[in-house]
Amino acid sequence: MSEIAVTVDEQPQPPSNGRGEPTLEIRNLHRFFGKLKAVNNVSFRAYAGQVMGFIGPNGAGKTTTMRILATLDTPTAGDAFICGHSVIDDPDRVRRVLGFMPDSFGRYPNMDVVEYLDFFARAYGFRGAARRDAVERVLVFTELRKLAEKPISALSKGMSQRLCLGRTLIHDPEVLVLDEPAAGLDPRARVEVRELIALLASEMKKTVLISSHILTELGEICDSAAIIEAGEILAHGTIEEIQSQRKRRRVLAPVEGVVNEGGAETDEDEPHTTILAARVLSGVEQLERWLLEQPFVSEVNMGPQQVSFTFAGDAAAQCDLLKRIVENKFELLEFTGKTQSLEDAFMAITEGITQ
Amino acid sequence: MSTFERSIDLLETVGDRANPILVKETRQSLKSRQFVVTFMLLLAASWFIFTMGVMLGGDAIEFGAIGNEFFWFFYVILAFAVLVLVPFSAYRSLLAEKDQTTYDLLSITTLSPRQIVWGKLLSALVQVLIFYSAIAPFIAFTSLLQGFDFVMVGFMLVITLLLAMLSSMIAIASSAMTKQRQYQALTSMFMLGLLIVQTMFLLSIVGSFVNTFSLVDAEAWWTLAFGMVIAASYFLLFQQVATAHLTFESDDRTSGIRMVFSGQFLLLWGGIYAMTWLAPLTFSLGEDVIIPATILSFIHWGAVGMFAVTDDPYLSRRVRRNLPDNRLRRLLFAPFLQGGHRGYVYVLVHLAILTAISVATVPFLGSLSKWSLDVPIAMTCYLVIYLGIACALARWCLGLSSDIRAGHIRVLTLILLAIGCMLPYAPLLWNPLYVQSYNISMLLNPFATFYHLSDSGSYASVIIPVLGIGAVLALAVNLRAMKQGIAEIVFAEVKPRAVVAENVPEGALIGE
Repeated sequence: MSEIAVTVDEQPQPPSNGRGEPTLEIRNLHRFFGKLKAVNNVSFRAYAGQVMGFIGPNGAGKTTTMRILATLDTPTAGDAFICGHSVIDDPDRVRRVLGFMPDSFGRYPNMDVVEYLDFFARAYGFRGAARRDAVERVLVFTELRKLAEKPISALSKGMSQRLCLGRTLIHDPEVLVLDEPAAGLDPRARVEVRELIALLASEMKKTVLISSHILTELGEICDSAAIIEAGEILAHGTIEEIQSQRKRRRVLAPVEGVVNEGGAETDEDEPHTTILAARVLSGVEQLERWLLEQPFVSEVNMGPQQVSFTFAGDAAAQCDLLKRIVENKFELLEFTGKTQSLEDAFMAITEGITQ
Repeated sequence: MSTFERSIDLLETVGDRANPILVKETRQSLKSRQFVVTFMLLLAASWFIFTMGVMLGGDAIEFGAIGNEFFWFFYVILAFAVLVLVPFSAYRSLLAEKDQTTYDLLSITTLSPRQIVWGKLLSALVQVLIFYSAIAPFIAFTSLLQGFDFVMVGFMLVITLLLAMLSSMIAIASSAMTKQRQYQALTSMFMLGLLIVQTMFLLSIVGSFVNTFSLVDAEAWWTLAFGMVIAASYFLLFQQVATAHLTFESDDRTSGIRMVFSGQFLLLWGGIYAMTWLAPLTFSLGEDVIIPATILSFIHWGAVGMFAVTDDPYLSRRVRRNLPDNRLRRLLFAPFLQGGHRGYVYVLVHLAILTAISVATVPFLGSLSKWSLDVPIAMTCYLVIYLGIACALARWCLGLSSDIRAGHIRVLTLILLAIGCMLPYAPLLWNPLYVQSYNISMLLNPFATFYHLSDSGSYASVIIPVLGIGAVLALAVNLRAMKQGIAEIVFAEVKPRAVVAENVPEGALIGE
């Protein structure tokens, strides 16, 4: 049995990017269930007004991490801080500044919408006019005013999620942890929930940590993300930073006898790559063959009237390539850089490991 | 502002400051089908008894002293509602919160576990009062009959109300302890059965007590007062247990429970001495009080000790941070904190007090008593030995694998005790006619030894030194751990915002 004490202040501090103190911070978080390492050395930060996506396959450790942040579970090692309060040392203070929306909506039977919100306002210590104001504020924000007297058992899934979000906001927390808030919703309800979340970050300057399987949606509302698999963070940073990472940061096996010290392949080791696409009027097959012979070009894929490929050169090389395509008399209609989606990055970074 | 408006304002203020769980549960209960059905059934049953009673009573209604008999029928219906249905509803209430994952939502609010427990209990009280109000018109009717004893009826209703609260608290504590979802149906059935049996038992006790109870009998009042104090101590204990099970993992969940156990023990002996001092004419300190109280105390510390010494030794940073500044106060507080080694110290201190009490009570036993000081000394030694074994086993085994739990250690210790009890009778396996009188090999069997010692046995001069050596060995095995456990508290220095990793496999942490 080992006991290791590390003073947090001695830990290397990532730059705050001029955004002040982080409102959500996870440091070397571990959560083991017997031999299962549900969360294994997870660290990241989020700041006020930031929407951070927390992405990973099923069983990756997202919900466990979120439950620790919500003070529903305790870590085996490490710590997490919400507005500077430790989830282990100060769970009471954390609860005052954190709103947690679990993936399942806990319904109370024989209760209507306003009673549900009123109960949670009371539970957060609101009294008298302050309580009534809090309930009214949430009813207005979630647009549930006209359903206030409706039993919660009669609410649709979309309305239930709104109510659940409302419950999360009743004490006006600074940090929101939302576990699959859009799961099971129809497209319209999803868009509505997404808009509410965007509003919370942009207008109210809340920090939002959100997990979802619908990566296209996360890509639209998140300004940063952390990708987790098998309990470990594989990539984190802004969406652009993550999208630029094509390969896994960890090298699982040495290649051609070369051992990468520390087991980590850094961004510096990897050349900058871009996905480019060329649309032509005709001669797609010829263009594909020609491209395969060009420097910096790899992974050429042919589609109807279009060829996409990975280009490892810089901007000057890219310009030179375009010039040569035109000189070789290809009937070029369009030459574009294809933006890699968060989904592409996720698929490239994760390996689908389940525990 | 009119009186009516002032009353409304007052009610609003009370409602505003009321426990949130109480407000929620009351709202839910009044809308729930189960409560409405129970209420209507109670009324229907009371109407049926009223109608049948009046029809069958005949002239006795007018001329006979049947007030108490009539009341008894209504009382049984009321008792079933408040002693079975209300506690069961309290039990299901907390369980349903866990089932429907609303408990997670509740536990991340700023409500404390104590508020949650009291909220559940107060909503049970509201239900009890509603049932009382439903039956009130029928009791009012019986009060018009001859033979109706107002004092006795009032007494029974108050006692029943208190018993309903105690049962509800036990039910809430049981549901707080129920972790495994797959066992919930089974535990619910068990709880319902237990409540029915308990109600029948209580009805018989209340019935016989009421029949023999006399308002001018001082001894009956003393017995009642003593019973109430014991019941109050168990109410407090179950409240602590429920609160502890709902408390966040890194918080102090142990000291409250240990303090109540100490309080119960001191209350028993304090109560005995107080009664001897306050009511010397009705209560005297003799063999019939000392022996049962001593045996009860040893059973108490045996049971408490099994839980205390097998406790997880991990002490969170949060607990350490909230320790008293003064080292002497820390030293006094240390045995109450979580950890098997500290638990062993805690039990040892109380066993020492119990032994001292036993020595102090010897002069009150009288010259004819067979009970000698050897018995409590032997009991103390046995507890020190077996609890020492359990404490050492817990320390060695709990670190081996996370699959080994404190419950396994308790079972293992009980198995060792059972083997010790059976081993001296092993010759019976090959010789069924073997008759064994007490010999030194029977030292392994505590019960046979107690019997032998209380019967002025001839081996007393050997038994006590041997058990004493065994107790010293048990202490020696655990001495280092006990010292560490106490020193950890007395000399604890907690750095702010430290990340402490414990029980993490080698190599799992960064920088390792």
